[in-house]
Amino acid sequence: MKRLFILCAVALASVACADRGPAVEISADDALGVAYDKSVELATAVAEAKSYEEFVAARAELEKYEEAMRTQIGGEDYEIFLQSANEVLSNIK
Amino acid sequence: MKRKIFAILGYTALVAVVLLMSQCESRVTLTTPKKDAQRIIALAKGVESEEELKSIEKLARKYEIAYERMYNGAASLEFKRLTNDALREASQLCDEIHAKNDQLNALKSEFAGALDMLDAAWSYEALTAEKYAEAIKKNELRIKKINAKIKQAEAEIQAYSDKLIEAGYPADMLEELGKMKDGVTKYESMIKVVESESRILTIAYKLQGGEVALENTEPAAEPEEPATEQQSTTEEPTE
Repeated sequence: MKRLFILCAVALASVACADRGPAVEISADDALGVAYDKSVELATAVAEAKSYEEFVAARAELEKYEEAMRTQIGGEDYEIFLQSANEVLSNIK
Repeated sequence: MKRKIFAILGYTALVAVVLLMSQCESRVTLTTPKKDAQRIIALAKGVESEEELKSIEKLARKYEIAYERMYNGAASLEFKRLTNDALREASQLCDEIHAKNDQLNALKSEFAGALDMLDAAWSYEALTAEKYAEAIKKNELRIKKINAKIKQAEAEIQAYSDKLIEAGYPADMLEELGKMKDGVTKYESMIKVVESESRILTIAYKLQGGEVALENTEPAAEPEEPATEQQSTTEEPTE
């Protein structure tokens, strides 16, 4: 019974951690740089992906930063992040 | 008889307690109109949401009523005059916050929409120049047809509106007019869906190595056949 519980716990932990990668942490000092430059860099990687796998990876990275900006920084910097990324992404259309 | 008297007394006491409690809840301690107004002004300056604004406005109203009851109309008016500007400014600030939130939500949905559109384009089946041109033309025809329906519906709405005015705005006719207008909105959203399909098609075609003319949405005169390697990669995700 004890083993079963341990196995279940390990399985749950591995499912929870799967495909997530390390979380992004953004300090207030870096926020502006991420909002202006990193967003363009990440969105460009999404726009210029050469295969679907590359696109999926680039999208995941961009979304990870978007979440970090939304939850850790917010406000005007987050708005700039979205604006910069949207500008790059809309140029493909 | 005794029981009845006790029951009546009990109910009366209960009502009295409830009334007293409700009075205590809405009661505010009055000092002077200037001091109380300062308290409201300080609270109004820190407003960050509509809920906060509403609760401050409610509190200010309680003070107004209390001044009117306890003293006179002049004290109440004095309190209102002192707090008016601060409350108006707080309301304006709330409107600004509201507008900013709307703008942020629009940006968020644009961001998610662009990524989803790209994902759909990457997952699109392999497109030849002919297939692409055919699909785009088909969508353009669909849009033309929907636009024709919109024009027809608008003409019908205009005619019906005239009848509605003549009839003196009866409720059933107003409802019918609302339905007709909803129909136009549905057609408009259908156009948006078709346009979005065309955008996905164009991005998919570009991703597969096709060249798209910018002026019209048709492909260039001699478009490159999409590379076979890329076709296989785009087909993978759909499987």
